[in-house]
Amino acid sequence: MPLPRLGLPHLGLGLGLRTAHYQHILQEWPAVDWFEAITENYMDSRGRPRHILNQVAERYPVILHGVSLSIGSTDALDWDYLGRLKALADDIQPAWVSDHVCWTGVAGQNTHDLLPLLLTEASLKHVVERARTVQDFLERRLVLENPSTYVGFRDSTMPEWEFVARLAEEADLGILLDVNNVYVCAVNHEYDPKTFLRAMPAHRIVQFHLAGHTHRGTHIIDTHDHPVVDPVWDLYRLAHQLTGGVSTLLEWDSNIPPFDVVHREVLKAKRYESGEPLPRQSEARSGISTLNPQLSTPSLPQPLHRRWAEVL
Amino acid sequence: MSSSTPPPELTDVQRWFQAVITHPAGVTGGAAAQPARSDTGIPCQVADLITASSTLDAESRLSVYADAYYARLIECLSDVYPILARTVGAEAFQELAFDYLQSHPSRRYTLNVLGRDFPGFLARERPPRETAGELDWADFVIDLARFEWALFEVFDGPGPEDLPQLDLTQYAGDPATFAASRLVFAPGVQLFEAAFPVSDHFNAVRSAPTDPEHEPEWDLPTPVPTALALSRRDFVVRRHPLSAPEHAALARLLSGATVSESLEAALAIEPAQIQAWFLRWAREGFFTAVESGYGHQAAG
Repeated sequence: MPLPRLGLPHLGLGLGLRTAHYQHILQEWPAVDWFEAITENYMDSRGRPRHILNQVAERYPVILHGVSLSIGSTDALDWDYLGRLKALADDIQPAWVSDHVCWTGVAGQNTHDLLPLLLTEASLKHVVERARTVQDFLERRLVLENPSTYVGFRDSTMPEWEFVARLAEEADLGILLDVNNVYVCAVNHEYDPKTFLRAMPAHRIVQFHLAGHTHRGTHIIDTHDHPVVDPVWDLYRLAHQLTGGVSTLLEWDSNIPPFDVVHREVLKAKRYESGEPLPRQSEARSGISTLNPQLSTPSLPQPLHRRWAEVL
Repeated sequence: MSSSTPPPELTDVQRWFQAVITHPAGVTGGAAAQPARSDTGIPCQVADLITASSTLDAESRLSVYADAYYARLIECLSDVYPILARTVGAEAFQELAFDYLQSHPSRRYTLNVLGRDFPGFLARERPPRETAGELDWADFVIDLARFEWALFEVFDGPGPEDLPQLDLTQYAGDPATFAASRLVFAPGVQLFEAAFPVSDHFNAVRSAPTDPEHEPEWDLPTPVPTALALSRRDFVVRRHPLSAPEHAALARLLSGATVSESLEAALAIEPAQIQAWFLRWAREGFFTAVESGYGHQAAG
């Protein structure tokens, strides 16, 4: 078992806790190493969602993964949100809590999207200060994820990998390295994804995300609705080599297949970690089958939002 | 990345970005519109701020966020109001939700409350009735929205699962004390009234195959005054049809009346029938305790 980094454990291969799989999980208690729960879906729940999270947390290690921290917003920090996050973390005792290097809204509004930051020294200073404040308040290590982005700003003065790496070092954070997001950004912003990976301070990476995406021909959208594509697996292999291996989680949030299919997908990571040569996927199977936008359904970038569909 | 001029303030960039991607006219209209221009010192041309890639111009890149903004929130609303969305059809629901989001953007960290004022919005914005005094589609849509929101509140709100259920049979030998008592309701119990049979319609739509391409056209139901009690057991929402006298009695009990006070409007009902009501409500877990002149007695 690899040594913990930043005092956080290596949990193995985990899956996102999703409504579509609740029944299977409660009936089968499948042999999954750990689950990642979307914080906002449970922090106010006093019904079945929270009841299920409580049961899952009794049996598996759990990570709380947020989408509304809005660490990069120029609005004041939302202390109501932070208080609820802290209370949930105190109850669930996750191995860590995470969110994203982004902002979700300003002027009191929440777009519920992971919006891109202007990458400047002033932005970095702003986010570092807020991240330190949040971490002090939570009395827990905060782990932040690199998001998928679709625009760049003319006035940015540093690449994203420098921003994330310096943020992690200067605010003493953990990094949730979303390997798919690196690939998505590399295509959308036209750089070599390996540059991003090699710029990350490996000793701060405590978790990987894997996911599928939708290629629109001119750009990629991070839709979490396909299997992981070969180029992302290749990046995962490199990320594993650079870090020595950390907790890895597969996200699948739209067109969600049965639990066993999702579980098999994340278990592929073992073969990439071991360096075992694998057959290459066909384009059609790899999730790059939607090159013609006219043939594909509208693609929604994640983050997750709540899917009810189970009220009665 | 430019270096000749100082970069704009982060807050100005964020206000501009948000104003543009949430504008109902899309990125082009949003960039030219007053909110984006007046709140910030940012120029109105998207390409002044956003870079192009070799495959997409700046506006197209920014449109990824703009396209997702309404799609995501409308999808969220359709998750909270699935039967309403199917009843009016996807296109009409999207129009209603789009209009709603103009005046009700999310201002919370959670999407749980995004749809809270949707029924009120529908009621405020409804078109005038064609025939005065005659209930129409808008009335039904409003009733159905109110109903789905009530179900959601019971589903995810406080519930009785950790509380004992009250056994009323222990009071059978002391009717006078019971009549003077007040009943403590289990969390989650609420009453619902509508002019249309929304619960029956809910069942009909839910049991119909889900096929967005071939959703049947749902007829306007005949108005039938409907009263229900909603409760939760084992994290599942339960619906209990009520007669008018039952509803009146439960409403009074919920407002804090004693048992005898709650029955003032039910003098014509046989005592055995009233007893059956209370026993049924207790079996359904509506009550957790009795507050009598002798003090609070929790179920146990």
